[in-house]
This record gives sequence, structure tokens and C-alpha cells, in this order.
Amino acid sequence: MNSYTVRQNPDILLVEDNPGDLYLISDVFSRSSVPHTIYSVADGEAALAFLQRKGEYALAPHPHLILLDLNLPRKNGMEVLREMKTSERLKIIPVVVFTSSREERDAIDSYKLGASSFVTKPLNLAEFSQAVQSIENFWLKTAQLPPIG
Amino acid sequence: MNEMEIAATQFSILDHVPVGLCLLRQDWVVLFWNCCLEEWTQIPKTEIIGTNLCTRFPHLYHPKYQKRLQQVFRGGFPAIFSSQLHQAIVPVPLPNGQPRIQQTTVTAIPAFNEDRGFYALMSIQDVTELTHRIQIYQAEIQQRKRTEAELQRSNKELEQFAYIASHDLQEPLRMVTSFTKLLEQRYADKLDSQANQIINFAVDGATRMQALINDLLAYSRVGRQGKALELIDCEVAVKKAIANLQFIIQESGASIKIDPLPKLKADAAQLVQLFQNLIGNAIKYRSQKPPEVSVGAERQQGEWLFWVCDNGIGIDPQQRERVFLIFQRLHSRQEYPGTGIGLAICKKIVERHDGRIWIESEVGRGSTFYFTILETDLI
Repeated sequence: MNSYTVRQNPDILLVEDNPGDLYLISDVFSRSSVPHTIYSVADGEAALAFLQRKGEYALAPHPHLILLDLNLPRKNGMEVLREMKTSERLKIIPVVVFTSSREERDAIDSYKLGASSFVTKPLNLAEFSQAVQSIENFWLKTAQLPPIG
Repeated sequence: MNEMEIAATQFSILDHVPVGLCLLRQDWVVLFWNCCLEEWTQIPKTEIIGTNLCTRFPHLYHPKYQKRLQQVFRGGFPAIFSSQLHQAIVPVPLPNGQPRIQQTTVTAIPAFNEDRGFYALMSIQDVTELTHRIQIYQAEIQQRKRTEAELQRSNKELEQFAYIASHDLQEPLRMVTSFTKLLEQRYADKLDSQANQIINFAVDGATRMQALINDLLAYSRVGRQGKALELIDCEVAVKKAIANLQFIIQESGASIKIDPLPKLKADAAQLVQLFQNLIGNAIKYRSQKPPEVSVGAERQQGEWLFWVCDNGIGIDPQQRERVFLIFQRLHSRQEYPGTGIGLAICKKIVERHDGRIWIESEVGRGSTFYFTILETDLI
């Protein structure tokens, strides 16, 4: 039986088109006690290119965790999820949908497409940081990330 | 007796009906011509009975009339000449010269001499007024359908617009609040008090706009995310509303009395929101006395009348309409916080249930909010 070793220095992909949010999310993660590397792309097409190591992303790592916005240019978050779930290699990566949407429909659709959780971006800065903090805490400290590359 | 005399005797009773009646023999010879036709055509019986109808009205030589009438004479089949498809068999202008719109029904009746097939009895009805009225109604129905479709489309568009606008406005606004806040958190010690006050104004304005946009979203959701109406127990809805208001109820020491409430067809979540907004308002706008709220209902013709009654500060009767408008407030934000969306949402929910909402109140004497919900067939 293969034993499971806790992954050192996980790679995290942020799919986020809002530079402000990117700043706020990275800011919280930068204070994490778990060493990790953050990569970011600003639209759905780039996210898929990153994951499939296409074009300029030929040397991109396989991320262990993805934070995915829904409202994205070119390809939206739902399309990214849908395409990820058709690939054996990509479907094991946990995806936290982190969006400004408060629509029940979006939550249902995200879970149907295999999202690991659906988190609405709080409007208030303190709550926003808190939400990112709890994502960081759960995925980097509590959960086992998938054994990738 | 010859055929004309027999017809005159047998049909005498029909002489005065307000329908044109003409009895034709197989050779198109007129056997009977009633008073109504005399009056319409100004052709007296004496002049037309015993003569061929086609010589008077040559358009009847057209094969389509000849063929149809032959079917009546030979086979005894009835025929109908509607005003839309046929020129009138006996064209009769109206006194104003306009053509009279006529519907002619041709019935076969056995010839008086039995082995001679059928006579054709033509009943000519004047449907001019009826037709005009139908045309007016049809035009009106068309117009209404167009207006209704247009209204539905524009309502939908408006809801969609409200959603998109509010959602997309929310994003940049969140950036404003987050980063002014961050500026304050990280640089407060490097700024003077005036700078901090300026930051506060910016944060306050952006926060207020966030609340407005959020409420606009909630308002647009009433139409967009409404569920199908199902049978629900209003007492359960009120209890849920009260549970959601637990904090303010305890804090204010409010007492809430619930009369027996009906079961009816409604959108469960929206009804909870409706009661929650009304009871919440009753407590929020309380006077010095501990708030007392009572909720009740009464069956009326085809609908249920509900009320939420309080002993609060009341509302100036002149403001009764205004309180239901979106973002209309009667008090300053310092006196009572809020954006002024609650009652607008109530109105939208009630209207979605084909009901009305109104208020009876006087300043200082409490308010009673009434609303109706249509009693739909439960079967």
C-alpha cells in the first residue's frame, strides 16, 4: 500500500481577473505558516492553458489547489470547471469557487460540476480576509491535498 | 291553393320576425318574402313573389350560388353564406348607404308537393352591429395582448437590468471600501485626524452604496427567483419570520400575538419575507412603549385579508403611498437606519400573489398594514 506523504510546498493557482482581489487574497496567503507558491491567471482561457501546459504555460506546475472566480473574461469559471472534469488528471484538483455571486443557482451549478466548495466574497474587508484565512487554514493545514507531480 | 298561397298561410307567423326570410322554389321563383325583407329591400311582396330571384339579383347566376343552392334543392343539405366569405345573397344597403353585413343560412324544407324535392328557406340575419362590435373587441384584445407582452418583456428586462447593474456595480465598490479601509488600517498612524475623517466619509459613502445595491439585488430577486405557488400554512410562515427576528424581538421586549391563520397557495419563502419585513418594521418603528404586534387574517370574497398591527410611532397619512416606493425613507439615517427597501419588497411580493397592500395609520397611534392574497383554487 502506498503511504501518503503530506505535500511540501503546494502550488496554488488563483484564477482571478480583479487585481484588487488578487492583492487581498495573496496578502492573506503570504502570512500563512505553511510554505506554498501562488500562481495567478486572469481569465478562464489562461486558466485552462495553465492547467493543460499549453503555449506560454508549457513549464507551468500542476497546482494542488485552485481558487476560481466565476465571472471571468473569455471563459467563465463554470466552463473551466466543466472542462477540468473531463480530464482524469485535472479532475482530482480541489477547486474552491470564490466569487462575488450570491446566486443560489451558481452555487448549485458549481457543486454539480464538482467544485470542492462555494464561497461568496464578503463585501466587508475584515470578513473578506477572514474568508480567505479560513480557506488557507482548511486547505493548507487541515485537508490533505491530492498527490500531484 | 297554389304554392304561393300555401307559403303565405304556413309562413304567416314568420312575417314579422326581425330576420329576412325568403322561400325559393327549385327554379329560384320566390314563394315567400317577409315584411323584414320588404323593409330592407323596399321591394314589396306583391312585386317579387312569383318571380325569379336571379332576375332581380343577377349576381346569383354565378356558379357558386347556383351549385350551392342545387345541393339544397336536390339533396336537402343546408348551406351557410357567411359575411366574411360571400357577397350577400340579397344585398341590402343600410340607410346610410353602407352595405349591411349579412349572414345567410339556407335550410332545406320539403316541397309542398312531396315528390318535388326541397325548397330553400333563406334566413338573412343582419350582423352589421355584431360584426362591428366583434371587430372592436378583437382590436382591443390584440392591443391588450401587445401591451401585456410588452409589459412582461420590459419587466423582465428591468429585473435583469437591476440584477446585472447591481452585481456589476458591487465589484468596483467593494474595491473602494476594501482599499480605503486598508489605507486606514495600515497608515492611520501616518495620517492626521483630518485625513482620517476624509477616509471615514469615503468608507461611509461606499458602505451605504453597497447596502443600496444589495437591496436592489434583493428587490430584483423577488421577480427573478420566485418559486411556484404551493399550499402553505401561514402560521408556519409567521413563526419562521419571528424566529428570524428573534434578536430584535428580545432586545425590544416585543410581544407578538398571532391569530389563527389560513393555509393558502403562496411562495413559501416570499411569504416568510413579507411577514418578517412587516413585523420587523412594526418593532423597528416602536414608540416609547414596549412594542405590541398582532397578526391576523380574515376571509373575504375570493381572497384573504391579512393585517399586521402595531402600537408604534405611526405614519403621517400623507405618506401612505410613499412608504411603498423603493428607497423612500421618512426618517433620517441617524433616527432609523436602513435604505428603505423593506416595504417596496413587500409590495412586490404581494403583487406577485395578485394582492394589494396598504396602510392605515396616524402619527402616534400605531399602524396597521393590510394585504390581500388571492384565494386560488386548491384542487
